[in-house]
Amino acid sequence: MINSEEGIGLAPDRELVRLRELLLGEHPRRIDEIAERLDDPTLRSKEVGAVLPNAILRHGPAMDALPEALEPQVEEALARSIQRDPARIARILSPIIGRAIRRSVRQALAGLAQRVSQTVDHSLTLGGLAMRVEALKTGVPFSEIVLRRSLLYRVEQLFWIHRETGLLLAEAVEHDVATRDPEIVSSMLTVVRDFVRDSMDVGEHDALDAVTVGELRVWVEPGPHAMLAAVIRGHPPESLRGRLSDVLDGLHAQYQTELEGFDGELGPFQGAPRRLARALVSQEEPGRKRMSPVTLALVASAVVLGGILFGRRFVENRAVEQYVRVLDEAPGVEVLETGRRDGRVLIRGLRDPLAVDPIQVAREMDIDPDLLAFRWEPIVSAHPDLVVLR
Amino acid sequence: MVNTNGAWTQAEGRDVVSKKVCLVGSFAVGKTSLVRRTIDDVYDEGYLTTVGVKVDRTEVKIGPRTVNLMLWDLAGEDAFAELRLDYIRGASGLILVADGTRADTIDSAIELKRKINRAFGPLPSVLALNKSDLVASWSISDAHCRILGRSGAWSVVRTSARTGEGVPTLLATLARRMVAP
Ligand SMILES: Nc1nc2c(ncn2[C@@H]2O[C@H](COP(=O)(O)OP(=O)(O)OP(=O)(O)O)[C@@H](O)[C@H]2O)c(=O)[nH]1
Ligand SMILES: [Mg+2]
Repeated sequence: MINSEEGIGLAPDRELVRLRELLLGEHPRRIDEIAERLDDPTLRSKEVGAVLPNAILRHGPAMDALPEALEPQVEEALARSIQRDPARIARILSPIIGRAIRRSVRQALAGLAQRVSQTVDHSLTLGGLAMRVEALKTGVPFSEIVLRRSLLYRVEQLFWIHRETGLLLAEAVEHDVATRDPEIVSSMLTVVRDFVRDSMDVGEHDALDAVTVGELRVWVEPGPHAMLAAVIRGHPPESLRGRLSDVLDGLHAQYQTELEGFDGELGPFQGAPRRLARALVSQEEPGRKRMSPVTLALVASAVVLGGILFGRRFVENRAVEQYVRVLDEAPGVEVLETGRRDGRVLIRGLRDPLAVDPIQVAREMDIDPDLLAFRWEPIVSAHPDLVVLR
Repeated sequence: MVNTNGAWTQAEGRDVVSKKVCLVGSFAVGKTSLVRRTIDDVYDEGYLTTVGVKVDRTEVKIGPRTVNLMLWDLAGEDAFAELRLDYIRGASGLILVADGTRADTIDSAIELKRKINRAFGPLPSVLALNKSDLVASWSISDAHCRILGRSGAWSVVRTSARTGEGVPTLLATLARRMVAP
């Protein structure tokens, strides 16, 4: 016993291992393996990595807590990423956010623009015109026309400009517009924008989006890789912005890879002008019949003039009527009918040669005798006044 | 209501590549004068310092290719105004300009090159040693010029905006460096 005690005491570990092996068979090695896997962080992360996607994909109820658990970490990660390089996240999100913001702003503005242009449209229809005649007479004349005129515009040139280099990628121009070195204009525009952003205290993403040069204005629509500059004559509606940004979005989508690897090669962008040209719009000659201010002025004065003429004829008619009645009541005169011939008033009837002179009566009643013509059948009246005369 | 007009100009079907090129260097070394010589083939004795930046355009033919050079003429650096690195962003090439009559402008050019390298990595570059018409009063030796040319960081070209000497070479050299075959 003592010996055996000694024996155990001499090599207790080995004995125990043997005992364990006898009792448990293969298991001890497995346990050691598992222990090692749990202790070695590299191994462990490798193993967790292998099952993690699967675990997340399995929508067991246990997984329901995952989004909640991840939320703070994801938020933190995003915040850090934005802090380090805000441009990166902005670039990633700009197609979505930019589009959404632009759309809602556009909608808000579109409503307003519509109301304005409807008011103006009405004032320019012929029906509206009739109602305006009164206004014209009372001296509230062409304010509406001025407003309408102020909505006329034409996009004359479009520059699609690479943001970082300021290089012109493509251009679209109205055929009758002379362009002077669009490449220089493009570069200088980027300079001006940078300058404004740096020198005025504006946020990183606020930048110059409109420049006015004489009667031309330049609208700049920014995008992730390239911007669109439109040279506009006249007064564009705010809705034009939407059109510009749609065209710009389309260009970005079509030329995504070319833009990312852009090194000055213009070959890949040869199809771009066709797409650009969709924003070469104008609002001069609307599909609907709308009169130009000049035509409108002419029509308006014609109406006024017509009114004056019509009025005079109307007044004239009343006088003639009265005259006819007076004649008709005169002794020895019987008016049978009145009509118009060759611009004169024709009066037919029966008349005793001794009755009043119709021309004399006309003069007395302030009616130009030249406007009158008569067809009288001579009669002998039995009227007492005439009998006396006779 | 709105008309879309079918008119546009097609970017001509020629083989064009556009490059942004920046002219940098100390004040009054002749950057603006070199651009004016290039674009309008004129020279002006008067000195009007450039404020901010002015962009001009010129074309250089390299074989069948047309290289469209957008020349960004930047305000010169001096004790008061530091170079605005923002303007260099997106550049494909540099024209560093030094005034042969003022040795310190060469040091400035070297320093600028280093600064731009740090910010944007190495860019194809040419060093213009300008005012070669005044070579008699140059403050740098031929040996110095040769050493400058050996660095490999840039090609060195002697130019004179006044006589036009070396100006076409300057642009062609840079264009070739940028549009590597
Ligand atoms: N003799 C001589 N004078 C020159 C030459 N090039 C420029 N100059 C003169 O040097 C002066 C400065 O020239 P600019 O071209 O304005 O210099 P810059 O580098 O643009 O100067 P900043 O815009 O202030 O940075 C002017 O008076 C020029 O006439 C040259 O090749 N030879
Ligand atoms: Mg200058």
